[in-house]
Amino acid sequence: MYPAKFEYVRAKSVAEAAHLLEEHGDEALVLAGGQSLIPLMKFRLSTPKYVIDISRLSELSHLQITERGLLVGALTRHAQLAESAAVAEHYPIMRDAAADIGDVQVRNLGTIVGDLAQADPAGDWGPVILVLNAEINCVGTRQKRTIKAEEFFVDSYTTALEPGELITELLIPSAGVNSGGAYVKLGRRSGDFAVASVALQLELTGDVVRSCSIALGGVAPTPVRAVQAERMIVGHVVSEERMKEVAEMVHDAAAPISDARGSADYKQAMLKPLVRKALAIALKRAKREA
Amino acid sequence: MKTRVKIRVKVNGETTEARIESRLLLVDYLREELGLTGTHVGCDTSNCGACTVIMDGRAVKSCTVLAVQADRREITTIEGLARRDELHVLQKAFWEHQGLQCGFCTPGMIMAAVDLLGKNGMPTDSDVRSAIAGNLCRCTGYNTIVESVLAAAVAMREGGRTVK
Amino acid sequence: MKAREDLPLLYGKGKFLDDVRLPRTMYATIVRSPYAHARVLRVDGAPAKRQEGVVDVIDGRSLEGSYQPLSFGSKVVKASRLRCLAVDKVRYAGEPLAVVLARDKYAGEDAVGYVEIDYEPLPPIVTWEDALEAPALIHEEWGNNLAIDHEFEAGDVAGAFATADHVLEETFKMHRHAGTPMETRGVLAHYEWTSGRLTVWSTSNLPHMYRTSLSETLGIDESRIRVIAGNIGGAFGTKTVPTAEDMLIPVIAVRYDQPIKWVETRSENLKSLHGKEQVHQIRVAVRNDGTILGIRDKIILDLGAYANRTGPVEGLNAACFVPGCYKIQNYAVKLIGVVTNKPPLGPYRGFGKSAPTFVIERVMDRVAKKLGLDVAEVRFKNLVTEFPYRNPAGAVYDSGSYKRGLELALERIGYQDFRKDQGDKRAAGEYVGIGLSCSLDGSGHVVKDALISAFDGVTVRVTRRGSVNVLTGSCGLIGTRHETAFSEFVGNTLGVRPETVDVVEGDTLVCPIGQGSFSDRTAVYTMSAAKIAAEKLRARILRIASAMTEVAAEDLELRGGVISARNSPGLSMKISDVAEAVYKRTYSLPEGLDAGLEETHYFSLRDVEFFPAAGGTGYYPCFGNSCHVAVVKVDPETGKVRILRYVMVHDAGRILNEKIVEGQALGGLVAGFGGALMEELVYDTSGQLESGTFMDYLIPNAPVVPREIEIYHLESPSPMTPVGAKGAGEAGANGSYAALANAVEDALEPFGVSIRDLPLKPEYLWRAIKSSVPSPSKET
Repeated sequence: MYPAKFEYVRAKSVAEAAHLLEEHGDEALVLAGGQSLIPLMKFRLSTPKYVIDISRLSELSHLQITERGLLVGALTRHAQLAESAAVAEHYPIMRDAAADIGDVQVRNLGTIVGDLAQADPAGDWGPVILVLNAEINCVGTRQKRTIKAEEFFVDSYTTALEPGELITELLIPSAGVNSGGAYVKLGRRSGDFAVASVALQLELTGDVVRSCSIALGGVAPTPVRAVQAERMIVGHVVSEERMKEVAEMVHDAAAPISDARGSADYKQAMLKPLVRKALAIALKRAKREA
Repeated sequence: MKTRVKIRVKVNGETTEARIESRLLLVDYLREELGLTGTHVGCDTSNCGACTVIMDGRAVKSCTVLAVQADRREITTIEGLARRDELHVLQKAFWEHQGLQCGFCTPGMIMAAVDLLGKNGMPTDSDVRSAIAGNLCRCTGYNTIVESVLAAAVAMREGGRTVK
Repeated sequence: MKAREDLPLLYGKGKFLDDVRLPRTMYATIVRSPYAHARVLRVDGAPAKRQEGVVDVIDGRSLEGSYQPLSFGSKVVKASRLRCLAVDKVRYAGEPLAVVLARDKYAGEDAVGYVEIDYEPLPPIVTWEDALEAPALIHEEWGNNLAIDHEFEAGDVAGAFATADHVLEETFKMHRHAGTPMETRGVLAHYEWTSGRLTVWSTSNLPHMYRTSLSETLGIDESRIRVIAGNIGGAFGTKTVPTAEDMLIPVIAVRYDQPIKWVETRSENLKSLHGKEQVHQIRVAVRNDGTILGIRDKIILDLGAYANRTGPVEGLNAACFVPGCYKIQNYAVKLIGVVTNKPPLGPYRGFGKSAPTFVIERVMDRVAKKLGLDVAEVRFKNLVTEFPYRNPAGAVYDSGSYKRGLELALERIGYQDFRKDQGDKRAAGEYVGIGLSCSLDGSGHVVKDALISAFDGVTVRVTRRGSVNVLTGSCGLIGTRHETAFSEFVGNTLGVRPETVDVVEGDTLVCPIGQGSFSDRTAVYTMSAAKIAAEKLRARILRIASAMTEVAAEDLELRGGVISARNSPGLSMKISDVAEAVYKRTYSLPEGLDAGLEETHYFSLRDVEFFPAAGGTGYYPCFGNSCHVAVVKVDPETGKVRILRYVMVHDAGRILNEKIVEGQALGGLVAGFGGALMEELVYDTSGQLESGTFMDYLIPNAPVVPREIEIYHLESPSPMTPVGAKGAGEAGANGSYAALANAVEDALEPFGVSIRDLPLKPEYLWRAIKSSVPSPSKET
């Protein structure tokens, strides 16, 4: 119910935060929104000796469209993404995810970057940044680097971040003119984590799919791309028949485990209606029909 | 290990200062340090919303916020809504439409509604249900709560008032 | 009249248990067993005692001899004792073993991990099959794992089956789930050793019963024990005492000068008191025209680790109510109550009523299917229509509107239109279904020779300046709006403005001895006591007024606090004038009347006939009823159920306040929705609870509940009490499981799915659809 004792440090800069993280190693954890961290600390599943609060750093608080794409500072809350007109217009798939995470209260404080760093296999943002080919900018004491989304997730609750590194922002590349995407998830009840989820982003040339990314959530230790299913769509017009085939292919790409949210076979089966729905919405949006 | 911090939090318009353990949850700061027991604890996994307060204009679950995160921020609890003898429009609506029975979830429910009506003055039935999806109730069956919030929205529009 | 009791709650000034603050309070953090079944070899609190802020660590052994464990048992339930802390053995994961006393709750939690305990794990008994197979004994002295083995038969059951055209055989299961009120339980106990007085603030809505149990346990006279219930954040049966913790905290408190406080966490709460788990293996003898000739039911009740005061009643009630609202006189029931290594069973809204209603209502649909009859038709064929009606278990249904209720429910839902459209919808891939249930809603439960008795007490007192206090043995601040109900009712009966009436409940120091509020008993007993007390006091006031005015008492009127004379229009006296005469001018009182303007009445039912099917241990005087119709849509691909519409026709006897009744009805319905669709306490094979937090034990939130719920009211007053009101709290929960189960099976009819188990979780339905085996009713 109550966290174990710890020393609280409010970082005055990103550099200081990185420094503290390196100094204290695995005895330190970062606090941004705290919506993943604090519940873990309350059950003492997480007992850091040092909590480094980065939530007051103005250099992490940006959310803006640039020529390169959408720059999402590490302190961007789910609620901001859900309410942003720019996000709704250019990346409706992000709005889908943001609007359905947890509940209003969680969305007001929780951050997209916090969710990604947590790397929960059923996390909502993982599949989304995979299909958007996002870039994750990180800062350590000695270097800045960019990690590509596809290299970010290593295992359940494990990312490619090195000790002493923290994420400062995400870059979501501009989507093409005739592109559309959708994030669809199945939960046991609203507010629940995903039993299974699908993120899908595609681009059309006329009626033909020029490019397509499909990522699955909650059905593997990390979010995964359904590569074979993607190949089935690219270069084709999406007919009812093809949609069914893609759904079957996606189903076969998943290897979920049984847990409290559902048995493995149920989760796997749920991917079919989810991917059909995601595909239908993405196509509508790409054709500007949504 | 330095386990204590000094914080300065504005609560219901009044500045409060204390030296507390950094692990102290905001809900316990409100209830134990300040004696504001209107905010309740109903679970231990951040699911029930009984602890909802407004922090810098947004509804948050005070059981999932450290008191130190509220340092230099503004908090409004249920106790800060009414003016002396005059109920806030939401409190009045809950009263008139039987939006409560045992009253335990009510403060959190109302604060979640404050957040909603601050963003959306014309919510639909569905908007209200989404806005309070993180607030659990075991007594009412929710429909009178939804009615209460919708009625408050109407009252606000007709009275030309804001939710704050 | 708006509910006055709402104001403190709206302002955030309610006084729930954890809001009560006493100086120097110590906090109790309980150490609980991680094993479902184990011997306790060693408990060493010393390392924990050395932690910062810890005052003491107490184990079970050190408490032995300092208190008298409460004992339970009856002629149908094996005897057992309730220990505050386990000593030699733990019998469920979560059972209390030790207590850390610390200066605050954070320090307590820090220390808990330092208590060293050695266990010898034993084979866990998780299911009723395990219990009967008995690879281990939970209570060794019993020789088996059976707490109840009880049989009852009435009518000519053999004859019914011999002459039947069909015999249906089914097994239905009601799963383990729990009440989870938003406020968890808690106790704050303070023993003033100088005066020998113990004060206990509690979340229990049975303060007098708790006081008696404390007296038995601690050996302190009840007259020196005060139990106070303030605002209670919902109960639904889960806060009826006593459990181990309810006894533990006061037992510890008498050893200390400081108050001791314990507030349950939600994780503890989900392992404390569970509800409803039982299996019915039922055989039904049926005639071709749809008449139910007879029933043979075997009920296996999973009591959890201890058969406490209340758990067995879930099965004893079920044994009486399987015949439901139907004319079935040939009935045989066998009730087996097993113990398992899970938390004990206790009351939960729909106590011993949701489950048998689920069973008999599923039977009705199965009979209809077997015979090719409409599901409504089969019910009309069998419904009880004349009252009073004695069911074969010995329960007498005092009054009711079963037929009228079902007619109205079908009309309001548009049953005929629904059936007309259903075929087209199915053809278009929309799987909608409709489900009915008729539910008996017993209120005012009485247990033989026990503290749950057929009475309650009310004092009505006019003060010196003419306002009124009502003190009751009930317990109101749990959301049932007693302050409003009593001030209105007493105000109107007495003849004063309800705004001048203030109601006091829940404090054993000032309130008449009563039962508390549960099983809808307030409507039955407490209201009746209030009526008689108010009427007596009114008569007294008029006698005094008569002496003061020299107008005959029968010609005087008292209304709105004003006394007037029918034949003298100029005469007007206030009730405060009477009070003044009484309290200030005793010399002016008429012959035979002493000072004082109060009456206390204990309304008591004498002709209590305990139900033979419950082993002669239980009784309900009044039976409300409700008729439910649910319309659902099921997505066969995901198994998700959406409730499209719900109609409930509710008969709670004479209605005193419709808004209150409606609030109770809706709350009960949504509790039933949760239980039927999503709530489940899932245990693994080692007796560990998998759904132990609100992350996985999912209760309904606002998006789950459709706006389209309609509640209608009928009134069949009860002849059993002067007021005629029956309870309203359980009806929603009693009938909804069945209505939803029936609706889902109807929706999935094209897939041949048979609903026998709950909950109707998406994955379970998906699996049933995948493996759809058509209607498996066995026939002889």
